[in-house]
Amino acid sequence: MQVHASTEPGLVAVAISGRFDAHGIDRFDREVIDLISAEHAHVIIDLADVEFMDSSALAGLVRALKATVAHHGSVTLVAVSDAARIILELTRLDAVFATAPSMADARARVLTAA
Amino acid sequence: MTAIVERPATVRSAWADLLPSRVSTSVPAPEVTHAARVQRALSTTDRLIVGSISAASHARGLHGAGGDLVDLIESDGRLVAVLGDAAGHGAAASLIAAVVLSSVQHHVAHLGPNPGVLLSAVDSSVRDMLDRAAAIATLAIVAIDPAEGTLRISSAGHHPVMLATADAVRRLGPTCTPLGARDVCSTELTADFTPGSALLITSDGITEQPNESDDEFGLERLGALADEARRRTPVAAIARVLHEVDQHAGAAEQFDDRAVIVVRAGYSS
Repeated sequence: MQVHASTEPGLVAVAISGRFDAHGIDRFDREVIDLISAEHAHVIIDLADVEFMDSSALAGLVRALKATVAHHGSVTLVAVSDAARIILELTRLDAVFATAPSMADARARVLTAA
Repeated sequence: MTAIVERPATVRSAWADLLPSRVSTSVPAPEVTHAARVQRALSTTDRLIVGSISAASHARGLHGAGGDLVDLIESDGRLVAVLGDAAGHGAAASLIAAVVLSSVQHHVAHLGPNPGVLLSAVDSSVRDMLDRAAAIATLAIVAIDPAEGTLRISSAGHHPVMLATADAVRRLGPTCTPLGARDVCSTELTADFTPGSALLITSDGITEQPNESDDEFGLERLGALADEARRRTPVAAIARVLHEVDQHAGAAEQFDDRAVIVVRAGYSS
């Protein structure tokens, strides 16, 4: 699993690729959730290149959501791959997360709403 | 209606250990082995007959103790099948699973076999704990009434339960998001469960098991096994599921905890 996370004004931008599962969840927590703060209360996550996602990954996304909500922020899932979409739909978590077709679109929505 | 528990709890795990399921080649520490034994003991039983309905369950953690929770409970003339999955595996997930299962058992005893009511009650009981633990768990609760020939299911984020009848294989649920994600609902689905029907409930360690080409076992194969389960005893049907998953995996190792429940209408186990 590859995780690239960086902070921008108001948000944390993340791109995840490969297998997003229990083996990489500690990295996700460390490199993404730990960046969430009052100054970076929104998270946008590019899932276009996620090949597999398990329940540990879902738990990680929910942790991110709760961390952002604590700062009145949000999590937006971007360009969700088929593999990720299927597991989100199977667990009905697709109803919990906002989605956007591109990172640019997600940035615009988040910063407009902020 | 009287429930018949076929074997005492003290020998419950013996048959399960004979089922064909490849597990991690690493040897778990004695503490983990003991924890796995304790976890198995938390389930009321792994074989149950209520009226004309027979059921069996199997659970094996990737590292001994795991995040899957299973139980079969008789309540008010119904057979209640419970299967859930605390995200992750190992000791931490097994602790979450134990708390969730304990909550289910408590509420079944006090609220009866009503899946929607039970799911809401369990959600209320474990929500704060899951928040503090930064965890989520799926949970499917199915109550089968042998007298009416019906089932009711509520499922918090658990991947579809397979219902096989003479006509078709249907996928039931989930009805809500997982426990710990946000408030779950009390929605129930109902279906006929008449003689010749079978129900197959598994954890994602079954459906998501990859082979060497990274092809998952998937829901299609699970549906076919549900249809086969109509003609097998629940124990034999579980053995068949585990065998097929191992065959599918080939040289790929088991990657997650595995749990299976099979319920069949109209025959003995």
